[in-house]
Amino acid sequence: MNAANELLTLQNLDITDTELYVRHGYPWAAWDLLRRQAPVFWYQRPRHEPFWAITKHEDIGYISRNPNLFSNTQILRLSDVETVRIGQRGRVRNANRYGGSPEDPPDFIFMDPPEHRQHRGAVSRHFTPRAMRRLEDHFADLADNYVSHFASVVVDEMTAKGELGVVDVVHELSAKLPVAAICEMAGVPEEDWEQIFRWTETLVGAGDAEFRRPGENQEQALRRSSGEWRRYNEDLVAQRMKDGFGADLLSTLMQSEIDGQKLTPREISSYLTLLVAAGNETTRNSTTGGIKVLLENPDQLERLIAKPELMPSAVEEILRWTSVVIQFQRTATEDLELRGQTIRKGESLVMWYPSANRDEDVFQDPYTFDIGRDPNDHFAFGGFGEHFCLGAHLARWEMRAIFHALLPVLPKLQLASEPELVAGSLHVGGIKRMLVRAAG
Amino acid sequence: MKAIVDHSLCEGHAKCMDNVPEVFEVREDDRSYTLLDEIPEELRAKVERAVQVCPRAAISLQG
Repeated sequence: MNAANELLTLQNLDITDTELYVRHGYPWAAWDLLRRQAPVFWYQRPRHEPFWAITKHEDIGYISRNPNLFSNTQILRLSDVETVRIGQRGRVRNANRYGGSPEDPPDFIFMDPPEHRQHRGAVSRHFTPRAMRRLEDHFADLADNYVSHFASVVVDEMTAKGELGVVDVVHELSAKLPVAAICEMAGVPEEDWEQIFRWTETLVGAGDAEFRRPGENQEQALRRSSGEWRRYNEDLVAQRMKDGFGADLLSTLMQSEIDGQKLTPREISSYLTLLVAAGNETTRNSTTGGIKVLLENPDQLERLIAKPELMPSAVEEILRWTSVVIQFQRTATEDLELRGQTIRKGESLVMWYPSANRDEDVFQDPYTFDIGRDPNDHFAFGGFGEHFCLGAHLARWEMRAIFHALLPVLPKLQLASEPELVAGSLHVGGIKRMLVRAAG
Repeated sequence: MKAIVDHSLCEGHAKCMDNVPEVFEVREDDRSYTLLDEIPEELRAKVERAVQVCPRAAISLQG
């Protein structure tokens, strides 16, 4: 829409066209302009219901801390009108098939307090720092195995091919630990991880033909993969009933009681899907983005190699820098004022997390990648409050383990392509391929 | 000044304990507890920082 030499204005900027994301990456310049000129901006464009675009860190923080004013129960992620309709038809179909109402929350992110706290609380103890420490050694072994295979087999084969040798880090490396870690926690048998990975790819990437079967449209691909996954989860539940409960998430879900009631089979399945998909589709992309930014900033890579104790802050900076989750949406529960704008009850607000993570009022030199940045109050896991990412510690732990194991390998690599983004998703900045070759 | 942790929100992310171990302690139940009833003035800035960085916005200050 916007030619390179055309002046960007509030009237012509575009932050919702997914084709622009695929071609040019995130719309940083448009978000910068919004933060400076119209941080609470009524955004009206074809193909989307209008919404308030929220781009300042402070405002996203305010919304996140006040779930009573900004509800999750209406609509949770901004999509084009066609994708919204597909979602609505899916809810109606599920209600017809499994009982309940199309208005029922598909999973607990669609709840407000107090219900949200009860349902999230059923599983939260699996994700605390204390829980992560119990898994630490085992997961460190997993990370070492994946990286050492990558380093000794994949990189060696690639190097042997000389100029022609390239490797896709997404599939050869970034994808492996997230799916293994969350599936193991969930209690999904290893022989099914590959299948689970394909379902999560389709659920997030159904807008991209590469993640559909030949002849399928977006709706058919979503229907097939969510249906197959639901049936798989039901079998898993039946199997667990037979084998007895273990220490895994599935067993916890099956034993949880909320107000004296067990979760329904549909709730168990949808929560399992939510946790596995969320654990999978985020860390993979942060890892790939982290490899890219370290290869593009050799001074920062050298600094990290010389001072590996900077790893925790380096991971926070990678999270800020990559900002993989693009937005979540809220609905105002009453008329209110935000930065002088009057927001009416029922209107939508969309929080653009990558914009918050480049907010010059919060981050000094926000466009500088600095692995020692401190403080670093990024919103890569969402704003602080009711819906802060449950898996934040898992993601941090995985990334520390992977990058720790990768440090000796990275200087031997260089980027061979720009990351290729998953088409059609306005929710997760998915990278489907990123090629590297041996450093010359 | 008092610090109050809302246990319906707190799930043991432990940012408060990382920032001010003199005031906050995360226990076996994955909840943070305050160790001091009254926050001394010299810890005020650190406690305010803990409030700001709590991932669940579970800490509030009184007085």
